[in-house]
Amino acid sequence: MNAAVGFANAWDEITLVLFTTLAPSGVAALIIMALVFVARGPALDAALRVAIDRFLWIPILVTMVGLVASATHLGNPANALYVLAGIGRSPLSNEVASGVVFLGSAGVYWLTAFSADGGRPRLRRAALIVICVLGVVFVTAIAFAYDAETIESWHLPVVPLSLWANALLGGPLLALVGLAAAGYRSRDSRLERGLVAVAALAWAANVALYLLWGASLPQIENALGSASDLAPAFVPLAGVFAMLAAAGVALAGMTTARVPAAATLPPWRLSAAFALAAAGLFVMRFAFYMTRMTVGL
Amino acid sequence: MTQYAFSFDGTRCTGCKTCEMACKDYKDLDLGVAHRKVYEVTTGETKRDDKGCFTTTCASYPLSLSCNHCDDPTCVRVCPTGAMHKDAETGLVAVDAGKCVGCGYCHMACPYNAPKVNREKGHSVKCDGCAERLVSGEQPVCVEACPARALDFGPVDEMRKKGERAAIAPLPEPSYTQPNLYVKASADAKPAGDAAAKVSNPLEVM
Ligand code: SF4
Ligand code: SF4
Ligand code: SF4
Repeated sequence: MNAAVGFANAWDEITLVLFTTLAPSGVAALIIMALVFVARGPALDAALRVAIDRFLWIPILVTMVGLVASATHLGNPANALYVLAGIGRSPLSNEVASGVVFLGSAGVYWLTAFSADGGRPRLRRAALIVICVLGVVFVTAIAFAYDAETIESWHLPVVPLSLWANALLGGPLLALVGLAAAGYRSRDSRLERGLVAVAALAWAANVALYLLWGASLPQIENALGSASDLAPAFVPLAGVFAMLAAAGVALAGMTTARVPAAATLPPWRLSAAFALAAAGLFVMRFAFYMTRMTVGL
Repeated sequence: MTQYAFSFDGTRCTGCKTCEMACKDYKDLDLGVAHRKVYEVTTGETKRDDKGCFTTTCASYPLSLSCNHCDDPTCVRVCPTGAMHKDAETGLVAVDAGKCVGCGYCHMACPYNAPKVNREKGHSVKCDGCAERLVSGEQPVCVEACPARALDFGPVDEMRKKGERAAIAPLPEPSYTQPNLYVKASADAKPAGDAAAKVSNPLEVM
């Protein structure tokens, strides 16, 4: 086994690389945007609330692009409904089902944001709480989707942990985009600075997890070779991730710090910040798919 | 139910790959797809001591492997659609092409490298134990083709008499999936999980 095999492993699953890059961040961003209303409740200005509701399309779209991309890797999508048969048994069915339920309810919620009066706030708040819980379930299901005892290089605590760390890095940055697009600005920029801080902490957690993970790869072995043979550049790739993601977090931080507190933030610059972080996440998701190996052959 | 099983006699197999080719011919498999594969396993090293004397522990042995129609098949466990299923009568594990979405999870999880998604067909393909031949009382094509009589197939109670439940390298410990493969090991065979025994023809079999 060598890097060419690893590369082929990941290239075959390139749509899953894209899906697992985008969906966790999309879901986390939607949860953060929703929490603004959930936390502030009726105190939140009605027009602003409606605007945030409507701009939920941004995280929903990012998540959906991921899910649709992942469906294209199927050999025969016509049989997709049978995927429901494995709920409870197959972690992949759990992932798909929780994703469909999450996106379905988030989508319906978003559509109802266009009713003339903005709906009934208490009901909408309750609905958002449910959607947030569904989102947490979905990200957890993505984190465990390929957790099988026989895939020794993926049956490790660092796999789900890093996926959650991914969500907490990309999610806040994408939420900043959505909130800025909706024209939201918190008092004294407290929320915006908090989100940048969460992303920065998640960046550090990601880097630490990737270094730990990279160091453990040579010990994961079978008769074909070790996981580090499959992804010899894992640690250098983690370096690429660290630089791209740091640039994204720094750009978001500078944007929130420089724009006067009363003005709305420029969504495009924040989008660029998210794109940088997402590019870094993509690199490491690719590296993850390179390392697939079983306990046997 | 009668669980069917394979047996492999490592003291007889010469690594000629007739089983692999007979299966490919019978099942009309394209380039890059094989339901049975022969793994070339090599172990040991050659050393030179201070006085210039060479010693070697090098050895190699072949292992013919298809799907083991496991008792606890990980492929069935992870399959989202239920396409990968274990037959209630024979215990043979097969793909229902009418349900398979071709997600490839079975391929990722099987530690015996048995299933593979055929991109053209859009579904997973693997050894089905020549189930249609079993119905008509015939042996699988691979078993019949073996010139050294190293392979056998039949009810698990009979195959069990022919060797140990598969536990030689490069195979994993049988505890993962409980494979229905019974092996009479050659003298040089290393135990399961011994990473010092390397597969030397990965491009051919993986
Ligand atoms: S050998 Fe692999 S494909 Fe065959 S039954 Fe066992 S786990 Fe499934
Ligand atoms: S490729 Fe087909 S048989 Fe294999 S896990 Fe996916 S749906 Fe099941
Ligand atoms: S039992 Fe049939 S399908 Fe399976 S390896 Fe032998 S010849 Fe091929």
